[in-house]
Amino acid sequence: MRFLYVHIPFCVEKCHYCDFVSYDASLEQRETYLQSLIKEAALHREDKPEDGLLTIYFGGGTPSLLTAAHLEMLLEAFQRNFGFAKRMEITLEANPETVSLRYLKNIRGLDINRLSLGGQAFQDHHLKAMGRIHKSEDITAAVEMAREAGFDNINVDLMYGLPHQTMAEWQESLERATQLPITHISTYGLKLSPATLWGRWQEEGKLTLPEDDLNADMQLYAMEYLEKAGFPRYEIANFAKGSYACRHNTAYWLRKDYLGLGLNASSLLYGNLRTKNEKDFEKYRSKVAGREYPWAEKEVLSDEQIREEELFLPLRLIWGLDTAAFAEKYGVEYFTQKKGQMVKLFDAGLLTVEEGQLKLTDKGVLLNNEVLAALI
Amino acid sequence: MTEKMENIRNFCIIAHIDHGKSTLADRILEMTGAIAQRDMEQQLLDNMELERERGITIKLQAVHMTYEAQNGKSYTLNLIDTPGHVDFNYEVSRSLAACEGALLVVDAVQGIEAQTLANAYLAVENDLELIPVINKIDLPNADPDNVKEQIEEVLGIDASEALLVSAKTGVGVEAVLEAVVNQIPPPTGDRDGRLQALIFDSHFDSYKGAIPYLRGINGEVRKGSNVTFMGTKKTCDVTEVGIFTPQMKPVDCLTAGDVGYIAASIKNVKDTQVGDTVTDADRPAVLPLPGYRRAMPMVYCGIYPMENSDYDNLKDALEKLVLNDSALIYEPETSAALGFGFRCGFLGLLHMEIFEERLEREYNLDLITTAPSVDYMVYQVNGEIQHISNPSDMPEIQKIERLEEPFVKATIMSPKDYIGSIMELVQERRGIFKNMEYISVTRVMLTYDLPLSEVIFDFFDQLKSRTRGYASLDYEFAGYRDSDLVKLDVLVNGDIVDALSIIVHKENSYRRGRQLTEKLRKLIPRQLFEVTIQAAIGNKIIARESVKALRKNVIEKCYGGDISRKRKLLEKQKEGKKRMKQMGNVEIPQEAFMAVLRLDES
Repeated sequence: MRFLYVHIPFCVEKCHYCDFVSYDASLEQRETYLQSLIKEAALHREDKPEDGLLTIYFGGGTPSLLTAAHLEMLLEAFQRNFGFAKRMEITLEANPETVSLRYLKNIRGLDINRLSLGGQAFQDHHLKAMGRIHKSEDITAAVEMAREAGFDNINVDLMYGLPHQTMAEWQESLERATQLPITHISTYGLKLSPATLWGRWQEEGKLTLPEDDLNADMQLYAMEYLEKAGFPRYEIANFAKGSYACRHNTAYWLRKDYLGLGLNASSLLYGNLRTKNEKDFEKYRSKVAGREYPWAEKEVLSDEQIREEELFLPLRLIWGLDTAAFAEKYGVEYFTQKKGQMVKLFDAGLLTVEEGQLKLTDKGVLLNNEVLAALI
Repeated sequence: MTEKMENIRNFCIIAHIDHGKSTLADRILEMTGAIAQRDMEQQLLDNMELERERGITIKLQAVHMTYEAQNGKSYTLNLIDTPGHVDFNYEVSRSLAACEGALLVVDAVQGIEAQTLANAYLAVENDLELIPVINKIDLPNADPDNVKEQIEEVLGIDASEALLVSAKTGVGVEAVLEAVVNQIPPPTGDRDGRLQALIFDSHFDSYKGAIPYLRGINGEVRKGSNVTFMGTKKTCDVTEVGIFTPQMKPVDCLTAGDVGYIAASIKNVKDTQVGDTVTDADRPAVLPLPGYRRAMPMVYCGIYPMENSDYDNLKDALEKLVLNDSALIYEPETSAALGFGFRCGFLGLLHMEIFEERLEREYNLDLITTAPSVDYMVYQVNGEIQHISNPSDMPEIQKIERLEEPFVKATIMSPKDYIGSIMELVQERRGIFKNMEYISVTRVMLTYDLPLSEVIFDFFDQLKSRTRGYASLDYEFAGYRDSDLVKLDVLVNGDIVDALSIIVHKENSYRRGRQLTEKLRKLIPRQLFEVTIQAAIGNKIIARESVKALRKNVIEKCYGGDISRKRKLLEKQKEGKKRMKQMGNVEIPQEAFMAVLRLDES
């Protein structure tokens, strides 16, 4: 287990589309939570990797609400329990409005070397409508400060399919992002859960969302535009310059073991155990305090499920699936049985094979659920 | 049974659906002590789960009761239940034939409805003594005087003595029992004569085999008797004779006037056809009792397993279900689109729906059923005459000289305010007006000849919705007539999907074609390719729609590596695909095959 995810469930304001676990917590609650994270890490001390952790990813919520001192305390605990590899990737998700130059300098000093900014859009009316607390100028300012603080690996998240969003606005957001001195862009289509404010509005018919075809055009445009702008796609929704693909997220798709700490965090352990933590703060805290794994769900994967994952996870990556390795492990019959389905997918222009690697085409990326459901 | 005939009364209850027949039966059972109230599940006579859910009676039952009348004598009462739905008219007529009298139950608010009328006529034809019972007098808007007038006006029966009852509260039920004793004549018959017993129902018992329900007309039957079924020519040894209390209770013998059952290790209810006569094999009756005919299917549809591998399971389920449903017929059929399945014939739409539900519920089968069709007569140019109940079997146009379709005589009763809406509906359905009669100041009875094929396509639902539920319908087969019909095919991406073909009247064909393609466009989900849907008559395309290709279906976000959720979503999507039928490259959902049934909905 060389990949560590840490969930920080604190937010100043809940965004209108977000169904992720997050609270506006008091300082005291935050400290209680950090203590629980440290205790949870200790529960996994025996899973300590020989050569230390390769990545740590602080996700949220808004991890940038943690002070540098908090982060230092957590990192110390992780180093103590798991050890650190020589060249690590340590990512912190940040809201552009919550960071200052001093803060960024302080955390860079803790060897946090990758910053992921929730930019979302470059039009203030969209940001306001989404319930974001930042403005578009905050994104630019945050990137500049991050550079000055010594971050050379910076991601900006962008969202499409927003209510009333036009293609021109989406193009503008992409253009503004690529003009910034950053290394990585993630693009996400808006998906609403009924538990969110927007989700309720959608059910009540109060929200005008772009048509499916416009959404498809937006995603296709992003793939083509970002490629030209020097950010080739390496995963369904992720684009990076040169060697700046996110090592942490890539580990998910390569089916490496990873440990998730904190509320609602998922883990893959020992290659076949998928767990998900409690999302209720009190349940989580009391389980950890009792030296118990704070799992709400635990699934021991069958061989068939593992095979499914080994098929569909790598297909999300631009490098695709190594068919020879897969066939060697599971028998070439697996592919021959699916021949009819695969031919249909090839004919539809959704799948290709290049040098033995099975890959999604751009069109196939948009329809990846269809492709994967046909293959598993 | 050796009860004196003069102390026996055999009767049934006839009523329109929802007029309270089952509730009245419950009260009668309670009062005669046939069943304690605490043992009684709501409305005991309707004992199939589906019947209870739909509030209708499908299978007949018969109950033996003892009643101490006010005159001090003890009587045996046999209550024979009748189905309340038009699909089962023939079964109604057989249960009537087993009785000497009938309680004609009419709702004190609704008044006479189409099935009240149809069943009352049947009772009169069978020479039954009719006792009018006006039920639900406890309702605040009950109007018994008006209902009495209707009974006299429409049925020509003296209703001045009609009993006023609330089966719900029990008021007036005692008077009903007294009327049964005093007004209904005892059975007649020759107990020493040759055995003649009428089969008015049957059920299948997994231990005892098919159990025919009998009404003794002449002679007697005992355990050990060797009996013959005169219609089916089947002969067997009687292993048990009994009555329904309502549980099956063995007795020594059944004689003329009695109602009960026999068991004879009969393997199939088809051998115990309703209406058939049981006689003694060694001393047979000269003639069977009148009125026997095989149940005639009116509506046909194809039933296919969703998964081809379920074919044998479907076959087993059909074999088991027909054991208990002598009206159902089925034979194997093959469809290019749906694979191997069965063409099944039913008494009517309700019968069909109930049957499909039983297959899915009791046998856990996942089925595709095609749109229902009637049985057409095809007169070919070469002189051949063919019965076609599957539209895809229709010969090419140039081989057909003419076509005939079954018509029904439909009786509709409704408040007069809805005459306009009813006429409009019947017009759309090619109805031919026959008669209109006022049955009271506010209610009217309309008679039409209608093609059966139009009646089976949601006619009843439309009638109900256009009359706010007030109109009632009854119909009977009225023979075959010439019709200008064409076969309408549906092509999906250029290929005919045989299971979607329908036969329609030429005048309606363009409208139907347009409606059908539109409906299918809405039902067929977007897929990887554009899907074109065409309606055609012969080689001529008359309507076209397309389902645009699906462009986007992707889970992008991966919150903190939650892969399980992704895998579950994919598995769910894959499951969803199993609910579709693969046709070439196109996936067609189950509901599409029934689309034609709901064309008039938007």
